Amino acid sequence: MAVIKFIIDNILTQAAITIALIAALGLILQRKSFGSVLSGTFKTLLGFEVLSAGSSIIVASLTYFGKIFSHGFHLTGIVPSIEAINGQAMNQLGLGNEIALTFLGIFIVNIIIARFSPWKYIFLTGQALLWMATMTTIGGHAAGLTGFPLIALGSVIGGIFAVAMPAIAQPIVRKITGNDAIALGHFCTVGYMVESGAAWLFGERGEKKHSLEDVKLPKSLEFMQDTYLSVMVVMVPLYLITAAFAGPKYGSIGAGGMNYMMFAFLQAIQFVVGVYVLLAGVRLLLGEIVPAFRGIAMKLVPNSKPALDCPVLFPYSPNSVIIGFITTTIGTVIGMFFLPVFGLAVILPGMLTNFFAGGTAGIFGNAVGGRRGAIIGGVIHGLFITLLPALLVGVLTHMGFTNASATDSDTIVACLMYAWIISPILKAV
Amino acid sequence: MFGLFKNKKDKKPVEETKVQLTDEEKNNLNNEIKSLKSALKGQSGNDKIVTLNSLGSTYEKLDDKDNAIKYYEDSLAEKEQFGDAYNALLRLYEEKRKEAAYKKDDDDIQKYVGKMDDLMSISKRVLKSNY
Repeated sequence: MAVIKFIIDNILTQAAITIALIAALGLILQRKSFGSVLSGTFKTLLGFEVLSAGSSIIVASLTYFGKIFSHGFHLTGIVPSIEAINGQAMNQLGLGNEIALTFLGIFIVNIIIARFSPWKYIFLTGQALLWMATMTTIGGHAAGLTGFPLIALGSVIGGIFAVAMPAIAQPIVRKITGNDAIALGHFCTVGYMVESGAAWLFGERGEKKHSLEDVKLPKSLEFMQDTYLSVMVVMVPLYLITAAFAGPKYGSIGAGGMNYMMFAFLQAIQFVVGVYVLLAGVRLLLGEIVPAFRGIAMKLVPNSKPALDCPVLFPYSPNSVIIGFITTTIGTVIGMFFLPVFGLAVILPGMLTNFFAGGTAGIFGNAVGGRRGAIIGGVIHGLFITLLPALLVGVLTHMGFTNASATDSDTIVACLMYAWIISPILKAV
Repeated sequence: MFGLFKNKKDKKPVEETKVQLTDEEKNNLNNEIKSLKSALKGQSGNDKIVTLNSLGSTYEKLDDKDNAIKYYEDSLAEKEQFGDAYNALLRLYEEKRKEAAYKKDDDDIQKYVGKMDDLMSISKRVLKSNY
């Protein structure tokens, strides 16, 4: 008995172990050799620890940023970063175990729905599923759920999203790709539908509709060629300007005698380092689990429709990606200044989301409303993806998150569903 | 919505439009392949890519997916770009993935899903290198 109690109390409560065991299960179900199971399990364990290390780096940098921002502008400045939210939920809040099990649960619910319903979508973007598991766990935790109910509800809600989001996007995806073979598996779909709706309202129709692909764009966005460089290009000025407003007294907190501007510069770099490490951890973490489970999913649902990550649409409309990125960024900048007027937090534009979600939204806007639809829709999309994290801030700061909010719109919608619908119901009964 | 009431008339999957080829047509296509292959020798740059794509599409007409994939992949290896080869590969990988899934062939499922992942990476690279 003592041994079992020791295992349950000390080993299975460790998220790193749980997620490694999930990987082991997937590999064993695939009848992999003993060596492959062992190496895959340890790689997953390692990935989790690398992710945690990245998260600590990000949190340290964001804590500094939060301080100088509140002293510099007397407002709460929030950096939207789903990676930071995931890291903090796993480490600071100790929700890693629940997130890992919900991640597995979402996969299972997805397979069940695809197997027995007419919606054959299998969500293949592992990273996005991890973010969804994170946000349903946070939402459930905020609503007061723990243990099995928390994991089960998160799995069902996440599993429904994993099928519903590709299904909702599919009519427009068909229009973009010209076939029905591939679906889009990216949890920013609510945002894409907002852009599509705006593009339909304000865009061009019929013969007046001109595609962005007929326009020649200048080549001037070279910094976008490198993901981390593009984050740095934004974070460095952001930290420097904020530190300048905060002044040397607050800007040098923790600097240990270093010049405060230099310290702010290095903290901005630290943020990028944190994202780099964290994403490397995510790759290691999911590198074994995702192939194992999608192999299982494909065998159980052979006629499935794979829902792939957003770059699947880029080739069909490369100009729209660039215009989507630019217009979404304009929208997020307007939102940054505009939302505090209504008492909401200042949400700083996140370049990675603006590029991938904004770019994909641009493709939707162009497909529905042509040039004008993509441009107006893009700005509205930018406003929308600034509003959602701002609405979420209340839920998150209440739980002890440091100066961060989530990014991917569907995951935020799932979390807000908990806060606005499920939590009141649970309190009423 | 949700694919239930979708407009199916203009978006038939590829295989449904495929017609049985007569022997004569097959012969013609095989002759075309021969002449394309001989043209390929000594070609380079854009000409080579055009020929490789033609080989890919001719094999696709013959329903020889493996050879079609081979030539399209060669085309993409010459130059990573959006276009016929990229789109055809995405389609062909998915068809092969589906075949493997029905046969419950795990290695092939992983192979073609992995290849689709590679296409996603190419997509990101091509887009970024354009700007």
